[in-house]
Amino acid sequence: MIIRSPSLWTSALLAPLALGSCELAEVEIEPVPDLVVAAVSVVLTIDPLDPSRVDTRAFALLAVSEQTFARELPGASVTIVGESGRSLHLREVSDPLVTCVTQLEGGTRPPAGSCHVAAVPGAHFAPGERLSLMVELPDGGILRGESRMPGIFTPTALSLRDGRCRLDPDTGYRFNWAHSAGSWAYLAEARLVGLGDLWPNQESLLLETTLRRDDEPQLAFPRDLLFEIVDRWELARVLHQGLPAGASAQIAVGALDRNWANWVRLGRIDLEGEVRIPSVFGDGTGMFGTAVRWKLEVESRATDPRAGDDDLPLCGPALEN
Amino acid sequence: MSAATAGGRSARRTRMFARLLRPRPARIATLAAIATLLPGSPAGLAGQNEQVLAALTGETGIDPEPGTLLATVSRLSVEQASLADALARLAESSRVQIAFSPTLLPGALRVDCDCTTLHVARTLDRLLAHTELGYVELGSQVIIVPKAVRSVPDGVLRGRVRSEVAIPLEDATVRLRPAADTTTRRLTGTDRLGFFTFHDLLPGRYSLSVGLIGYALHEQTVEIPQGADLEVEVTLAEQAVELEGVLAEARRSRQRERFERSGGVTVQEFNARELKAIPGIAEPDAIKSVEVLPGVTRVSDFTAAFNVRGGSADQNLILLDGVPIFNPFHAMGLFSVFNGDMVQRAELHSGGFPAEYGGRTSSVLLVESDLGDGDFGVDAGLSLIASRAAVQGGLSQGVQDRLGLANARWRVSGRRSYLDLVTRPFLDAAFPYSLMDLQAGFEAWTKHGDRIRITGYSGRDAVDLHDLEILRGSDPEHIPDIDWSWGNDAIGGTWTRPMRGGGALDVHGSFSRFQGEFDFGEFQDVRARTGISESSVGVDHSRRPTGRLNWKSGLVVNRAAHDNAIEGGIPEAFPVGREASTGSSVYSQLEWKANARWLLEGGLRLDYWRPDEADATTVISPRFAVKRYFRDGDWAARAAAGRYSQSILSMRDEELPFSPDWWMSSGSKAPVVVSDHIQGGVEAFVGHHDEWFVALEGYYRRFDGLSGRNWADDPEDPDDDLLVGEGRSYGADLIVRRDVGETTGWLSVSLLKARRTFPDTGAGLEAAPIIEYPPVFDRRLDVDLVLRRALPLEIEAGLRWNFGTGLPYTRPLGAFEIYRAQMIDLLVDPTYATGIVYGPRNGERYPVRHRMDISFRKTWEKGWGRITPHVSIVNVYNRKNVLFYSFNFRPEVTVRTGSSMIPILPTIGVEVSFR
Repeated sequence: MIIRSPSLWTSALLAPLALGSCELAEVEIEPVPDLVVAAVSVVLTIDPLDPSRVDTRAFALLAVSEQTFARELPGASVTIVGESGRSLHLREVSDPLVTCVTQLEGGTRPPAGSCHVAAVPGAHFAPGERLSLMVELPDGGILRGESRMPGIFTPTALSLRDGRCRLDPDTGYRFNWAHSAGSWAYLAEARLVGLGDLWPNQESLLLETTLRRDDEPQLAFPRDLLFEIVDRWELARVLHQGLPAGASAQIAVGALDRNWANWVRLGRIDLEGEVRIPSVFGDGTGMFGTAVRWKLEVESRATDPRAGDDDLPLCGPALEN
Repeated sequence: MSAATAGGRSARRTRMFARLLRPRPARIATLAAIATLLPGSPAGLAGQNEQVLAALTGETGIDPEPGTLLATVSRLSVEQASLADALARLAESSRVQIAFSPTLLPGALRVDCDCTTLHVARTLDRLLAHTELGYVELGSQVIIVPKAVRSVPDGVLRGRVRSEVAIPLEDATVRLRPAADTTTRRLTGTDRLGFFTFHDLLPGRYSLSVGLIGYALHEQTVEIPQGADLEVEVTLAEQAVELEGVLAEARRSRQRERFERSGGVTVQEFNARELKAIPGIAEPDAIKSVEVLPGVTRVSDFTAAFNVRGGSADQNLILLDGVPIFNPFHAMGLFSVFNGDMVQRAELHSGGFPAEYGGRTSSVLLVESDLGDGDFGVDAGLSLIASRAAVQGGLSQGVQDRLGLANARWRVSGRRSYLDLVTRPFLDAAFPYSLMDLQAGFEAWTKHGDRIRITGYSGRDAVDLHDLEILRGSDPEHIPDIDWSWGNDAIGGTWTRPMRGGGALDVHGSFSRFQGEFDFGEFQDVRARTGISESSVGVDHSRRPTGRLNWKSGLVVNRAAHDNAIEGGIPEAFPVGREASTGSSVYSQLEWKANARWLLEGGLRLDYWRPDEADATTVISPRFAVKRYFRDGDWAARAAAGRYSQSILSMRDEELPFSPDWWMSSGSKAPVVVSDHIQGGVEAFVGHHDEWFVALEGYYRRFDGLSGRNWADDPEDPDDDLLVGEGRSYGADLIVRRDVGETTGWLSVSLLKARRTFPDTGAGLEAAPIIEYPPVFDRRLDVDLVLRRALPLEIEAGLRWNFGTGLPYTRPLGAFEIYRAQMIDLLVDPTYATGIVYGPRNGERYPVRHRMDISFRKTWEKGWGRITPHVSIVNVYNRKNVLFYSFNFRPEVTVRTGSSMIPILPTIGVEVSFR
């Protein structure tokens, strides 16, 4: 299992240094030139119960990273070409903060960069197809990358209605699926709402984890998603039992290609930040990744006798504690 | 030859001898008397004088005793002088009477000598260097006479030193002095079975003396015939008096013995007293002290892991009484597992170790337990970090008789730290660390003279993280249940049967393991653990067929298993899995002291390693060493080459300031490491009674099959968790050591250049480029000065100063926000994390580091024992040596800050011994 945020682990490792070390004086040194960073993704979204229902979305965020502060890089051209010869040109949007960037609850985002998107119904690129990325920067610079689209995968033994299912309160569920051919890892996310006092000041709680590729991959929900909140002891303890009554969650599981997996997993530990393995080369750095995903919603509540057969089905047998 | 002619020649010789040298009347009279003894014509001399003169043979290269004529400062400076004039001027300048016959001197020889500061013996060595002449001090004069047609110095004296109850005595100092020559002597020490050997002896009568603390001095005369290989048995009587000089000579005797008997190995040794004299944090430490030796690098103050001559830390074989210790560190490296009260001696074999040692490729650190003297006693130590106590004793005679044992002795030591209490005043929350360890040793002899020795160790470090504020997160009221503990357990035993003539049969067995666990108790499936264990049984057999041959061979079978696991979301930064392997090794090595000038060593080791789940590997490791002695055996040049292999390794990330060990055995994931070493250098004993020891050695090493973390491994491919690379290093080590006088210590200078070559999977390219870089321990220059001096009021002072050039590090060139699409809504989260763009791997270097530590110890002897308070100050001048840099990448400017290593840190403690 791979986790994206190693803060606790790193803190534990480095805690001994607090014993005897002293801070050194600050020294100004010559800054390095700005860096172009690109994050380009192509995602096939499939219906978890009907893999023939699929659409393609590609998006790219380009920025000049003035050290840790990013600024937009308008005027670039982003094109993705498959080995079948089909290509996809991403259109630059005028409102990247709205169209491309997650909203910050209770605040505003700093400038994040220029955004390019493309959305196509159906599988514009086939699973297993090799894709090439070409980014032409306004100053003539070139960024390149290559990726191979992971294979289709769907959950097994899961009961859904309109993409939704139900869990009894304080229980969890183990999602299983067949392996996605060619994928390196799975990224699982859950956005939880309705946690009440356990998560009082914010509307939703986003949890995620990265799972190793496996012949019989699985996700114990929500137990496998808790490592990032182990320092929120009570919340973690409750969620370790299952989803509390009244809470619901959006769940998405994506099969990641090599590039994406390398970009999100923990690399070498560095005190300054995280050392990621790039897949965009040339006049900048970044990631060109592809993924296949499915998405569903889970509600935690007891069965509604009034709803009868119209009630949401149980996702499946409850996860044993 | 006619009588007249002979008589005239004799008269001339007499006159020439009377060119004496400090022509004061009294001296002239004496010289005239001597002149009549000189053999102008044998027929013209009195019979008795003729015999006396015939017995006079000249020597060169003598190390004179203080106060003798030969030890007088010569104050001579001559250029292109005849030898006769030079001798005359030497007599004048030194005011030493020198007698010679001009006819013996080569008339055409011209000599130069800027010898103003040399003593007479060394000056004569230079003046007579191109002649067949030597000198001898007789009475109040020094006489120049022909060197003897020397007998071949091929005599051997072997012996064994035992107590009155027939227990072999180790570390006894053995001195051998020719009965007719008070100016020379030879020194050696007894080995673990009480054996000693002197080689290359001229025939004649010798005075043999043997001393050991706690025993009466033994003296006897031995007659060595030409070519003899003589054996003597020495019995020492117990005497509760410390022999003057024995203590000081014990070290030199061992060092001298090694110099004379060992060809290839590069060894530096500490005994318990020296360990305590080296300033350090809290308490004497065998492993932390290793870093002051040549060829040894340590990357920070916060680790006790050390690197030897470009090898990784896991390539050091650390043996406690022959039992391997995997992770010999406590408190994240602040001190080692070896309790100072239990250490009798520590030896670092930094290069050229013989075929009997295997399993590691860089060095061997031998730590030998102090088992006491068999009398009941208690030693205790109290420092700011930990307290320790050791209890020793023996077995009653009745018990020993029932068990069939003799001279049984045991020692048990325990230690407990209180770092959490010490740090509480300085940190927001105490650092909740504790250690506890227990070490025990037992030794006894059977009635038949066999030795039984058992050693055990168990230690645990634990960190109770719930008290560490930075880990409390958003819920300060909640106390998390996090268990982080690690430790070693080891036990081993050896049964030894001494063989006549100096050999032995050893049967040994051991078990050692290291286990570490990081466990979130509240989440049963969130944990990380690492563990390795090794069991071994073996037999060694050594023989000394002759005094010049030492042959040793052996067989070891071992079983190793590792179990590393990460579960429940902890970042998988290390290879996981469990695997077991069986190894067997056989070796044979031969030491041949060919003659006074040559020592040859050859060895062959075969290591067979069979993992349960991978193919077997066989490594054949030849080892060879040669040593050539010069200048009457006080100087030597040596060279050694050998192959070494390693099948147990640690995936510790040495690039982090602190990183736990993550042991695994070679098998399906990691290959066996094979390393080739060559080394060569010179070493010498210099000065009166081996006052100084100097060694200079260069080396080159190559490592194949090194393993490193693959941060970009394919999760489904179990075989690519590790990267396989190679390394090489070369350098030179110098040590100048003084073991005599009020100020003792050493200066070590180490030059090193180390490189590693690995695929760079972090570059992201599918065909990973191969890069070469310096490892983090590539300290190009490392200088250590260690001094120990007796101050007034019987205060013993220690000083250690270290200087080292900067270690390499990988500099972050810039930071950026990592953009990553969320799976749920396919939007990009630009504040996901901060990414780092690295510059060339280890392409930058930290500034030089230097630090001075001092310590003072004062011992009061009491009727009940002794008490020794001690004070240490680490980093006396508060040098801020860089531990690591951190960079703040602001617009327009990058600010570098960071953390330093240990600041000035005074510590106090006290040691108490009850006897």
